[in-house]
Amino acid sequence: MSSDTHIPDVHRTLQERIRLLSAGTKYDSCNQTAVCHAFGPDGRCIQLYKTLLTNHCSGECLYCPNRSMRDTSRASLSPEEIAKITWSFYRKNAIEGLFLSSGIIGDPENTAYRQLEVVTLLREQGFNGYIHVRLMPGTPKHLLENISEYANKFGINAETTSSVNYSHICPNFDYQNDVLMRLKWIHDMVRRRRSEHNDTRIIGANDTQFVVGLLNEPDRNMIQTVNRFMNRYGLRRPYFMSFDPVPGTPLEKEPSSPRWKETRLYQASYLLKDYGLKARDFDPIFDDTGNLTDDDPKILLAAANPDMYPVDINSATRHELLMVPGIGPISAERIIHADTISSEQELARIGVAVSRARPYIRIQGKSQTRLDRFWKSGS
Amino acid sequence: MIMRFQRNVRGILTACRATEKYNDIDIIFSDERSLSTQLIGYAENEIETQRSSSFDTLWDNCSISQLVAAVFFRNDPGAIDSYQSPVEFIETVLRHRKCNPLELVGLLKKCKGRKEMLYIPQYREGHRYFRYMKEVKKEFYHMCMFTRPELFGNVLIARVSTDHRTSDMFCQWLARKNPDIVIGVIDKNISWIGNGNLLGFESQVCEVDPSFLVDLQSGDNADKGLEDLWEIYYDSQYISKRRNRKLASRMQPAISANFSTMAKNDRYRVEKGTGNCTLDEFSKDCENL
Repeated sequence: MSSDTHIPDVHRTLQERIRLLSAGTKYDSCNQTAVCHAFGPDGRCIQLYKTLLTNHCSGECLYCPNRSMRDTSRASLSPEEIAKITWSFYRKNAIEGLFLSSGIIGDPENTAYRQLEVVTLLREQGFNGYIHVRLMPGTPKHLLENISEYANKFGINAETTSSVNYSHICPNFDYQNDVLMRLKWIHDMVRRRRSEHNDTRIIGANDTQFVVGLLNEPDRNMIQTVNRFMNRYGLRRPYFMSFDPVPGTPLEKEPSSPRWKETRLYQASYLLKDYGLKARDFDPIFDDTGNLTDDDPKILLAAANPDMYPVDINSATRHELLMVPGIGPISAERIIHADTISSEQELARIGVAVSRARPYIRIQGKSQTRLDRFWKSGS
Repeated sequence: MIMRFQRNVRGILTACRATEKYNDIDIIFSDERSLSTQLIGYAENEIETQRSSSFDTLWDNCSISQLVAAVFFRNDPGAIDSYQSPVEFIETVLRHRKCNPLELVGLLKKCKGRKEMLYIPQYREGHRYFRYMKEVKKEFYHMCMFTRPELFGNVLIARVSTDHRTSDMFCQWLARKNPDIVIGVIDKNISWIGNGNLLGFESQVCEVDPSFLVDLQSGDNADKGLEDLWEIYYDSQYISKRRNRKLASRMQPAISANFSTMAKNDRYRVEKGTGNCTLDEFSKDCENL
């Protein structure tokens, strides 16, 4: 046990509290605004002042570094302090806004009141920047409404894909009621605010974060859940964070989730969001345990459907073009509206990754010879 | 006949129309000073300026959107929505230091009335101008990301150094972000004021004499100690197990170090990593020796 853990809040300097409370949010992903202002040595962007209101928490989530039973240094920031720091960084053009999360201060209602205090204060001071509030499961509806008056984005982390898993890792909350119902409310509020809002405040879509590799949840479940959330709750972009065991928590002896899994799930989520794929389209590329392998899912999908290729670049539909590795939504649109394409150079200028696309396309009747065809013609 | 046009969106679009109407004209643009001076001396009577010619009088009364509709007359309803603005394209590439308005007029004519062709860089010339657009936008985004202005009283002053004519864009962006204070942007010999209405200027962003901004900087610098606070915050956001120098270096390129001391320090830590050694750990290490 560190001697640091029992220092009361009042004896900590502002710098110490900033360090503690911002470190508590480093696992939260939130890059939603247009401009990043810095990048950490891990390559992740910094665009918001991310902080917890407090890391005192009455919750007992098994994986969380701030769980009530864990012996760790605790601190809090007052709404005035958070507002002041946010303003200073914002004026310095070091951030685009604030990301505010918190430990649970007694109950979700009290926590949401405190979060509301911060965002109200900032807006009353004329703060024009982006505000993203990470709410607690079980936040009452009237407080969600109030927060939606001031924040650009607000959401609740789903963490996992099923009620059973959720009740196992977050014993204080109920998945259906405290998470899914809130996501539905938020979706309805976002739609309403977007239709009625007259000022320039951008209202973000619903968002949530999943912990990858917790309780060995298969990727198949994760992709199905994301697809379902997109349809039901207007989820635009899910965030994934690989599970890393935190010392002093009940899951400390569990293995970390491999980092590549996070990348592959992000790729799969883009295929769902921007390429029009459905969760069932991924079935051919899961292994026996329902997990993705460490390869680009789009290339695996192309390999699983060899009859679809090569695609004639000048007559293909948008969907056919989108299924070609190396062609994304923007380059597919450009190809459709371009004059007849006669060379790979033209494709490259349009923005296609030609080396990746080459085995899957035909230009003016010419396509790359494939080894299986070579053998067939030989026999 | 030689016709002179202004180097702006209206000038470019009008020049397109003029070259369609008259096959035998030569065109020049008004900020090509040396060229136009030579030409004025050489054949003054033959030069028609955009405003004085009879044919322009009609077009000067047209709105920009009417001119766009005249030049880009083929309307493809399925065309790429988000890449449809020829005005934005022309405005952006005109800021590029290598942009030649004559070439740009030629490029617009080659589109044969299809505005989406500006954003489909299929052919070599189109690709070059598309690249110009991206370079201008990149410079602007880099300023938005890495410039750290200083607060003097109620004035926010930023120093930038641009290759293309983008500092007014940055000033406008910073002014929109901070509508309640005066913004000053100093770009080599050019200075811009943002939110000029707060000082009684008529326009939101306008060019001013550099000495004017020097006078505004006389207040106290309110940023003292902020850089230390930023370092604490920056270090707190880094997950050491996920260190990825290659990705981080790509995202925070070396050029970012030229924008501000804060960005320079961040770039340094991208390269070197951020140590998590505290005095406690240091003492423990000493005891183990």
